[in-house]
Amino acid sequence: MNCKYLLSLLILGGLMTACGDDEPDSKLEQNEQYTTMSIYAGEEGSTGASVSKYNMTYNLLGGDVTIQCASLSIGHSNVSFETASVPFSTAVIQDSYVVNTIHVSSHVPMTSAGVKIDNLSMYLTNGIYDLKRPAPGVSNEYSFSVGLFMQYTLNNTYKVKSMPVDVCYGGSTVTSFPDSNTDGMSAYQSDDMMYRIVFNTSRKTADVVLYDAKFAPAAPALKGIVLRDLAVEFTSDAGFVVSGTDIVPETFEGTDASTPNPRYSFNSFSIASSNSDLTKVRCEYTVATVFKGSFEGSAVRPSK
Amino acid sequence: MIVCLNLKSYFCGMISRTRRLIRRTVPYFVLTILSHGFLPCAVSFASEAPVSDSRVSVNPADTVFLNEVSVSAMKTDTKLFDSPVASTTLSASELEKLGAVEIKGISDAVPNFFMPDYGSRITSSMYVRGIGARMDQPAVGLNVDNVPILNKDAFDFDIPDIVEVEMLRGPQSTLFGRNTIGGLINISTLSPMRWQGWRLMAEVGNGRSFRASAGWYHRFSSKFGASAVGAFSYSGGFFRNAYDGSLTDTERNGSLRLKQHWNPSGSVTLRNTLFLSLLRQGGYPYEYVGTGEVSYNDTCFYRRFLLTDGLTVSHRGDGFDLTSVSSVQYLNDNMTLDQDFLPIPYFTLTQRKKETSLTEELVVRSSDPDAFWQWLGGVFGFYKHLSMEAPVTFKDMGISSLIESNRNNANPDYPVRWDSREFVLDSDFKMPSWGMSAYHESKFTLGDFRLSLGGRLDYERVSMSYLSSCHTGYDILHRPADNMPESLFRHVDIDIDDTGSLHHDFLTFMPRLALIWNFTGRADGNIYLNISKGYKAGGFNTQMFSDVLQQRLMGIMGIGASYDIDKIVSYLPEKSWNFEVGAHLSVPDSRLTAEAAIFLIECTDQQLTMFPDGTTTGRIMTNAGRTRSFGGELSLRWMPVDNLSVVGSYGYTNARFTRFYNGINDFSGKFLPYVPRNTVFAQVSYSLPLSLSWADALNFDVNLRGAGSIYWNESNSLSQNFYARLGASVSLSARRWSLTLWGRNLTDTRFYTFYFMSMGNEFLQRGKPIQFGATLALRLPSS
Repeated sequence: MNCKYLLSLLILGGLMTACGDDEPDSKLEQNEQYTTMSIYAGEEGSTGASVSKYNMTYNLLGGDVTIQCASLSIGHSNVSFETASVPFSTAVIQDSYVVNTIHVSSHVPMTSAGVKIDNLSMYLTNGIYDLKRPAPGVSNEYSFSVGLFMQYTLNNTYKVKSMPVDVCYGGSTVTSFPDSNTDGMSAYQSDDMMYRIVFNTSRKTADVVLYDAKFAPAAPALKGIVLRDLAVEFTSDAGFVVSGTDIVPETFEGTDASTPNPRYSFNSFSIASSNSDLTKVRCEYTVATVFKGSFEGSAVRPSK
Repeated sequence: MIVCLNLKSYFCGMISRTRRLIRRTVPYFVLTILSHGFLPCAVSFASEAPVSDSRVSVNPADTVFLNEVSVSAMKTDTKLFDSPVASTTLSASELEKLGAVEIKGISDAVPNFFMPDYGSRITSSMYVRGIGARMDQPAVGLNVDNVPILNKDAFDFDIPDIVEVEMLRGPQSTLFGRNTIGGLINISTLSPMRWQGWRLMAEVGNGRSFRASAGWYHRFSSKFGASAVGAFSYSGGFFRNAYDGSLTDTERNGSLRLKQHWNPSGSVTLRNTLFLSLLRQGGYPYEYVGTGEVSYNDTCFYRRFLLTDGLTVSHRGDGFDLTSVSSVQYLNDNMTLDQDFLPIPYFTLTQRKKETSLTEELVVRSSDPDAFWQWLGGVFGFYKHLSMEAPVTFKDMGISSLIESNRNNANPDYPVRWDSREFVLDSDFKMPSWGMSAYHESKFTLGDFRLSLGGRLDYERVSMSYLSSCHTGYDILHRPADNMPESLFRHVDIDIDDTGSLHHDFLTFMPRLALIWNFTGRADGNIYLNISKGYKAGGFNTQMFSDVLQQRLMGIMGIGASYDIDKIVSYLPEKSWNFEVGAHLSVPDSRLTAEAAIFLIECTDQQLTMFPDGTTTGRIMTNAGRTRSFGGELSLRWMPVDNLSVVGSYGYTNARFTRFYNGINDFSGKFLPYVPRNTVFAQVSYSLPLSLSWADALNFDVNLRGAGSIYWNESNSLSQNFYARLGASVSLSARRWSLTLWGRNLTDTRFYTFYFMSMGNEFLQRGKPIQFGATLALRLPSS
């Protein structure tokens, strides 16, 4: 019996399952369910997103997985499907904690109940940026420690990309600020700032939280800035853009509370996916008309 | 055998005998402490009876067998002159001339040793060859009558009837263990087996200072003796607080020492010393640079109760000596500060500590001095338990300028107003720690050469549990427009009760290699090479908790970065490698002894304060630095003519950062702060014999002590130039009494001993101004 894959999935799925001495030798199954946001882009230009659940059935001995989706909203329709068994590979990295990753890639078309799935690729990992701290008034319902990034073609018509509903991005933020020492603008870099997006697919909005926001060396680091109900646009590539203008943010203050802070008004804010599997974003903003920042980051922690 | 330091041997032209006597061929000797006004300047073996001269006051009763008293003598050569180590020994009379009743008094007089007098007696910052510490673990070890004083806060206390102070410079970690990375100070006090009777002293001086001590020494039998010494001192202070006109640096200090010495058999000796000390001190005459005044409105004081008891049991076996030293130490103190040192209600700090320590050491060594192979080994263990409460009270101005203004600048449309104008950030700690070590040293003698190889394995575990709490709150207000009234937007409760515990283990090996070449002839002496590793223990810097708690509070308000407490308060051990070449020289014909040394110290994992990456607020203590220190020392003692002695010493230290980036600035290449580059000491003493029935001699002494330049900060932008202080004394002495008129800093040199910054404000402490007084000492021997 090979428990290597079982161990990975136990870490990922958080379920305890015995090695199963009474299981048949040829098959050892592990079921996991993931709630994601699925963005679709149709050939005709339609776009949209919904919260969907994917059930994965892992054959730990065979090294393959079937993916079921009970209900996926595409436009005004709901579809469901189950893929054929596709092989998966795993990777385990010893970082500050054990990082487990599962990859799936299949370009063999699969048809299930009249639904054709093609060009499937999946990336599942617990090596994502964790939620730093809860944000007041921002739901934690979809905050998980495992991130599923998946994309496939549906019925040769729709490009579908799935990603966490609640996702954090880390990386490097560079902000230009007026520098009294130089009578000009200087740049301040922060690697501590984290950007969290919590999508509301039904309203096509998102709450964005900036953690440990600091725009200049002499400026205080703000524990959290909440930008509420920003407009979300889904692109023809099944990506996303979250943006807004003249936003009065709320800054964390007190226990599970926040205070409006007009001093740090965001004249403009935009954060958008920047790669195919939606694990990376690019963000630009202007705060208080003087701080101009840009951020490039990833939902997946860099491995050391 | 008894060796006496005796002027008479020279005066009577006993030069050849003296030369013979200087060759130390026996392991034991006794140091004769001359009465007030005399210097030890000659050595004679006890095979010769001490020669007295009616014209010269010699007090042969002030004698003590050093090797029997000091466990350090068990570990080093009987005479430090024969050891491959740079050392200075100060006798009782020399200490009296310096006015030194505590270790601060020998600062500058010992080359490259600097212990500035500032703050209160809780501050015992010591620097030796650029190695030092202002906070937490000491860099120099202190033994008093064999008791290793573990807490640096207890280093500064008056010690009556000191017989001798030894200062060993350079790392002594191999034989003496933790926290001797800079050196070691051994203090020995008078034994009742060596002197019996009454010793009384009374002293008055300017600054409304007064000191008195009374010591009773009695030998009940040839096997048992006991002594009791009480001392009291009072100082009215020199520095006035402009805020209320009071003198800030007042002090009242009392102590009691009880000693017992018992020889149950010819081979076993037991010595016990119990020391109690009670201190009430004002302290902290910090001058605000902006105004040039000492002026603050809140209470500052330091109170301390100290108890130490050390039991030394020695056994002389067949070919070996075994010594056990057990000690218990208890420290109970309260330091309360106006933490901003301004006449404005910012914030105050109280630090109340109770610490109990136990130590045990077993040392065994071979006792044949002529053997090719001499060895010693030992084990040491300690346990310390510290309980500390450290509340910081924020007051009106502190709340408005440090908290409300920062918060309101970040969000002026929703300003805050605190519930009350005073609240407390409370931190309680429990810090048990323990350690054990084993060490060994072997010495191999081949003709005039001797090679020493040693090593020490040291393990230590430090723990800390903490409770940080704060219960306060504030209103968030909102003014919709400029002409609109403020309304309450929301109230924020701040309830912090953070608990946690941290542990660290440290395991270190400290080797040592020394090679010494002895020579004799017209001059006797040696040249040595010493390579050794030094070690200063790691631990937890509890002072950082106020920063942690403040950041925690600001965090609730939505401002500031998160702190990893372990990363902020924990620090690792500091280590160093010391390379030293030195020499000891004695020229009997010229009545000259000299010592010289040059050294190079590479220090890694230096414990420094720095700022975390990417922030200008907050600070952490970390092992961030590498330093390099090199320099040299020269000491000499010379009697050009009878009754005239000249003592001098000079130390030079060039100590710089080779690497130190504090998160904001790079200080590589800068001089280490608080380390004087030069220390200078010069002393001339002359004794004029008197043919009077009631007085024996008139003694004159002039001395000069200097230190500097000293940089006050890592950027080297502020410094204290070299400064010198002149001291002098005139004493009339007889066999049983002496009366001394003395003065220190007679030129009233103005200098600063300390600098620091708090909340962007700069503060300095001035050194003490001119001091003068009179001391009457009575020696009433029993027989």
